[in-house]
Amino acid sequence: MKLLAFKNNVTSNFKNADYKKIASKVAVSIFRYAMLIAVGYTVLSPLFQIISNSLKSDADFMNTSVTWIPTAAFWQNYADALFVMDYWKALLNTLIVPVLSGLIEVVSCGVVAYAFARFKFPERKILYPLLLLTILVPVRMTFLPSFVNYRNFDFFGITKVIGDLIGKDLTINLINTPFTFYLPSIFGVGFQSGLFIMIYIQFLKGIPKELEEAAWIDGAGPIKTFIRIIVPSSSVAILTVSILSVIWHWNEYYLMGLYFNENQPLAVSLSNIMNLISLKGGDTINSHTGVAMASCMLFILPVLVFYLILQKKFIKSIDSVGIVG
Amino acid sequence: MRNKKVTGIERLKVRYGRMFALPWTIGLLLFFLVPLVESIAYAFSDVSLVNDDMLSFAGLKHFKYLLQEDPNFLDNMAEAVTSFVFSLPIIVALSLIFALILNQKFRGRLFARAVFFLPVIIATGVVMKFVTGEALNSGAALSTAMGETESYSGISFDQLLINLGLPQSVTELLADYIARIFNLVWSCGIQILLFVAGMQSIPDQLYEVSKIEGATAWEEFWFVTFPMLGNVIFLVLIYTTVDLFTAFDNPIMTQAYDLVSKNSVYDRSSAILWGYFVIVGIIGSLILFVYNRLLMKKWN
Amino acid sequence: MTHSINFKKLLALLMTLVMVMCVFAGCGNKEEEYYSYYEYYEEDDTASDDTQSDDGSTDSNDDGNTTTSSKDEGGSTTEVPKNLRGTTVKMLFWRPLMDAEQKAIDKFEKETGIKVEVKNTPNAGTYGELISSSLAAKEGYDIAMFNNTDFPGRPVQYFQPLNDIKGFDFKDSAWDISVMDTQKINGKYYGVSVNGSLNSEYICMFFNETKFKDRGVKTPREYWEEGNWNWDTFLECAKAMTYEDNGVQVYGYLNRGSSYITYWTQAAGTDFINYDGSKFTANLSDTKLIDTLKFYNDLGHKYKVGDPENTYGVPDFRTGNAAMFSCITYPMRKDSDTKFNQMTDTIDAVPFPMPKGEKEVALIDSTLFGILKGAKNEEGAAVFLRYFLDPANYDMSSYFINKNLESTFNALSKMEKRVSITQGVVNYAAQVDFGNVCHNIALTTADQTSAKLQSYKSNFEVAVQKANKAIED
Repeated sequence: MKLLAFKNNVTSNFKNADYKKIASKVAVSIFRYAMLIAVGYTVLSPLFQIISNSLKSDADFMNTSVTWIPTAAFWQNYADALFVMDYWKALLNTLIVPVLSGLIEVVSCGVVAYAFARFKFPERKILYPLLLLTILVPVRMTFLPSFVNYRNFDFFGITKVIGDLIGKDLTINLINTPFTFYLPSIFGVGFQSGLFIMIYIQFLKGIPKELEEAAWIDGAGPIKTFIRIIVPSSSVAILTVSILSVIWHWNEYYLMGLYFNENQPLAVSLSNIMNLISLKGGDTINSHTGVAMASCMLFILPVLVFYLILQKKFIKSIDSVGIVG
Repeated sequence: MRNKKVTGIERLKVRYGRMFALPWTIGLLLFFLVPLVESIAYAFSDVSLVNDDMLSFAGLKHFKYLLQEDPNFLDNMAEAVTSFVFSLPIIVALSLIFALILNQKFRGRLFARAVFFLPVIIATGVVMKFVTGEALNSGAALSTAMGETESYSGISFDQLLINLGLPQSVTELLADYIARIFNLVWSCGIQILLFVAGMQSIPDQLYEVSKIEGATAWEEFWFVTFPMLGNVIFLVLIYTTVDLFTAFDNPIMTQAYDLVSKNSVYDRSSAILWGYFVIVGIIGSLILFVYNRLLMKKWN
Repeated sequence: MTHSINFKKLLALLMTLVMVMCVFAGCGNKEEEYYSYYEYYEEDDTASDDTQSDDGSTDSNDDGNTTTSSKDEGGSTTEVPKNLRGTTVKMLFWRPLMDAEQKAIDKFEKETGIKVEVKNTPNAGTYGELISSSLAAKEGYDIAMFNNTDFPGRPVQYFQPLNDIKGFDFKDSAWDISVMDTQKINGKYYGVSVNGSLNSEYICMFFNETKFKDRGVKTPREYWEEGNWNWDTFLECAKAMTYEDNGVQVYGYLNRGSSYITYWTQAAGTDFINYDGSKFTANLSDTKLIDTLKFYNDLGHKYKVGDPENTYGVPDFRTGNAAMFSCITYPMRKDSDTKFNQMTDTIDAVPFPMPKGEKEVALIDSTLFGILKGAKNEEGAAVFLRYFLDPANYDMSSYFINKNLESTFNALSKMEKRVSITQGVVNYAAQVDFGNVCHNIALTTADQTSAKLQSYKSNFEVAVQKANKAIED
């Protein structure tokens, strides 16, 4: 009722006066830019602060009159940060473990979501609430049992039974191997997987069913249908999940720090940066805070570039979606 | 295969569905349910990590303690729940508005999008700790005892504004206001991303039709965009709930995590989390219920 | 047709799965071999243990060789029971190792034939998780560490009493007995520390020597050296060094943060909670405690020599806006992030002052290393700790910014030590944050101190109760 009244109100305004339209357009425009500036300020100012701090020397930090612009750009901070983080090696580790498992999730979650979004099978009633549960339960809640599970890993206790028969301990230690991340990702129960499945489900629901059913009737198998029909129609969803998955995995440091004893990714180095600076740089480093901030920038940079590239695709895909839908 | 009738499709669907869900179900059993059940067991046991039998059944002991003796739990719970109930609609509405703005055509749109999504990159990780200055104290130094010093390099808005030369009273007011917006904007990034993605999935034809019928921007929003976003709103509700539930500044989470990392008390911490979890679950399903029954009915 | 193709695809999927599993199984087997190797040596140990009691020379030739080789190198001060050779000591450390520590470990391995494995967390924040996950997974780590802020929670939960463990000789004067005594439980040690070790964090009073000289004020070091360094002379210094310099307020004294009023209570020989080795008691009505806190509150509010709301004194001390600064000794080091080595002014430090007439002791934030429950090589761990913590195995002088600081550090390491366990007890109860309590007390004026203190009475009493219960079990 209220909505209907609102609608009438809006339409009558529309019919009554034309100048109001212009006024509202101007108002919307002002509102928009005001919003943009406010948000831009809140989001960008910390970033600028990090950038500015990353270029400050120790003398600048101690000089209270220097707030935004350093007296001279102190690039040594970046050189030190590269050394302290062991940047290239850590970057490689990041790509090999978290980013790769993030990409695996982009695929595996899509497959699972397909099952939930398009098929009604009896077990769905049990599995769907469990899916919600995987989203809701934070990793910190289950990290201890998870750790034990990975440390003494056995497939449903089968290996243990066999091991008992042979008289050997056959359980596998996955700790300190990338499989603590790969394996769950492959099965679609990895870091933030539940959320990605959910995102896929919601987007897949929007694809018309007729296409798919026609494909079956034409004799295409489920995998073929999935690849030929579903994947091309869900480019927005795939892009969204890719962005989120890679970024979240890039940023993940809690589990990485616990599961990996060596070969740690950038996020772990960054979470530990003050220690690392003291350990590796010791007395030679000019400003610990400056190097920490420079490390922060070096950490953001690759993922920022990745995001900006994908974002362009993201906007391009608007048009293509229009055609497919 | 080709000769099968439509009823056959239903049977096929069941089989295909099972096929696609199978790996996930295996993974669920292997990696999720085992730890989950164990963490529930913690809440009802006394955990002693050094014993061979880690758990000894303790019944409702920890829950009783939390409700009757713990001086902070109920306060924290109340704070967490009220802030959850207030923040959820605000964040969803705010990110919807931002997404609408970003989805329009205007000058500097590309740049604006990049800026709005920056929190997605920053807010979810360790970089946020640099923004708040926390990272500079938490790990500080090779000395265990030095870890608790407060940092001097975090970004302080008060200081920023004082540097701009504003008077004290105005500064305080502004700083408070900005701090609030700051928090909200930082927790909107992903929702905006989801909304924008959702808006892009709406077929252009619908807008064309509405234009032909002479709808205003408002009407277009209420009768085209909003209903078509049904799935995404559901998604955003779920994500925001999870995000607020697991946020680090959530007092319940802080209490539970502190128990684990400072005191290594796993049983009570599990009890706190599960107690909170049940309450959030109830609120969440209420929201979903309202969403499904009232809103969705109206649109369909 | 499609049917069979699907089946094939499913089969292929399953086969890949099986292959993946095989790969893991392969991984697992390697691990297996490694552990059985370890266990082999363990069994060997117990065997040689038994035989040793009969006659001391049943060890294999291999061991004999290593002994001679280590003797050839000379200078080895560690005498290791032969049965420990070839065993492994596993330590959980709260941060990555420093180069010097790694070198010390390498040298230890070479000299003793004991292998050392270290697992660390990236930062101290997740050290608790590291210990608990390793224990829950029964990984059999031997050594871990606890601070006075973890006492009594962590030692009671995870650590073994050390008195019955072979390898610890508590008559050895190198052990920092006076620190270890403060954290005994029912007469037993749970952690060890070595005098003057890198992990010792004494509490001292830094001062800006240049600033003192500029203003012609007698420095704390001069007072200290003539044996007259106490609260009265401290106050004189602080008053003389509080002034305005071109509109910039220079304070005579800043604390590391207002929540560190415990330095003062420790110096006065009192505490919020007392511990006699078997029982905790709340001590909030103690007049000495209240007087001390009042004295601290007066520093900021009455004498105005400091800023009670300043939550971190480092930048002020560095810019010369604070003449004295109380802190742990860590900023004495060149690799500290406080970067005192980049100051143009000369800095110095003296021990934290005591009230006039009190015996001078060193205050310390302790870090004790102990043996975890479920440890597999307690004796090896004992030998290793004695070596690892010994400052003689490190080039200590290379760490300090200047000679004066080093001499103060060395003087502190030779004094009797005093540790506050209050924070640990309050943390254990997990009801209030002790830092906040201190902060709130530090901000009040002297006439409010007592009332403020009493408002936390119930929290402290519960904490004491819980801690007492914990050490009973």
